[in-house]
Amino acid sequence: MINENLKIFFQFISLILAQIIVLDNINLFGFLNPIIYILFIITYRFDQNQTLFIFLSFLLGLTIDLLTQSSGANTISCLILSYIRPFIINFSFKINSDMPKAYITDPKISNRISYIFSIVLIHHLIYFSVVYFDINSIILIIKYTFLTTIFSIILIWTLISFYKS
Amino acid sequence: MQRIINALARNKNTVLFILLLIISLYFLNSRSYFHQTKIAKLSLSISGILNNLSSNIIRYSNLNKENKLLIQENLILKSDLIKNKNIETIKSKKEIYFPFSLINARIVKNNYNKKENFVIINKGEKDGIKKEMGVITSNGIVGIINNVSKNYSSIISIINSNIKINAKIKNTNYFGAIGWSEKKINIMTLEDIVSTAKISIGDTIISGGMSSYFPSNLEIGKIVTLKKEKNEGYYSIEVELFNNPSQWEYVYVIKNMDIMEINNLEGKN
Repeated sequence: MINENLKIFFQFISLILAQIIVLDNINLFGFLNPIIYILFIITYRFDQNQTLFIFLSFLLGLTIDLLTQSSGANTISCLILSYIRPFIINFSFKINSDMPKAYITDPKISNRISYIFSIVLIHHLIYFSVVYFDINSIILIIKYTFLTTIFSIILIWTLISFYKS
Repeated sequence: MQRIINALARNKNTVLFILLLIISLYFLNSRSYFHQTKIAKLSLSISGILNNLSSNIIRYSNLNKENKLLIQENLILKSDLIKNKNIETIKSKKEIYFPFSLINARIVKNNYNKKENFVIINKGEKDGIKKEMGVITSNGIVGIINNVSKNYSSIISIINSNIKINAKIKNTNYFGAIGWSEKKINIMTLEDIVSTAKISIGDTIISGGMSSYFPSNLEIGKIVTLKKEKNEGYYSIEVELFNNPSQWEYVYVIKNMDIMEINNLEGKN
């Protein structure tokens, strides 16, 4: 149990550092910064305490916001995502949703893709909606959401294959 | 009590989520000026809709009284019209230039118990209302528009410590600035009237017309107390408004057709 908590702690810290030091300086094509810290939300064990998970996600977003001087978009998107994650799990894995690590152990690749894709897409949609916060920039929000989602998913998919080994 | 605690414990995730969401929205509001103005605009239109709803219900119950008031106002207007017609025939068709036009509106929210009071009316950008227009009632001044959304606008009320309006004493040429006394809701103070002026209690105060917001000769109120300050050379005057701010309901927004011209001139100086 202590081992598990320690793992969560190190993952939390290393993801924040990776996001701030490396990924926020990529600026692909001038504006694309893939978001990787949601790997924490994706890989948090399904059978663990949900209340603690919501609080940790809030803390994750808040830390990122404070360290990158942004206004609060990361906090809100992480928080909402952590609250709706059980519904996404049920939707994606259906009968396998009681496996604690279904995002790598599920035999069907389509389920795993659907899980990661929905989490990343919903996170980015909320994130960019809060950043632009204007009904007139809806085209801009959709454009950024899709482009960033593609790059984030590529990165997250690669990193998850390391979790397997 | 036990039941409430049980229900909270059962839904502790939802409760925690909502609590943290409120905190993060507050965080967003306080850190970003852009989001602050957006949220302020959103909340103005929401409070406009809600207040419109409740004032509709209250208004319905007051219809009888309102009707009587309207009939009275109509009578006065009609008599003025007849008087004016008589004058026109005497004056031999000399055209009088009057660059103001009116937009009527109804108050949906009127607060009068703070230091800085605001009024919300049910007309907005859609009806041609812009910032810095003057607002009056049938006998008195309400304030100046300071924020406009699509369907509603908010007014800095005359009973707000941030506003002063140019005024003068009727039938004289003494001009001063009138502002709220902050003591009583319908008592204003008039400043800058020299103590050599021949005035007395009961004199009527009208608008001075030295601003682009209001035309001249709008009645505001009457003098109730008059004191000569020692060694200052100015009167301290208290003025009672003709209609009490807590009873405002129908108002008129004044549109100055010459405002562009006046602003251009001001810009050139």
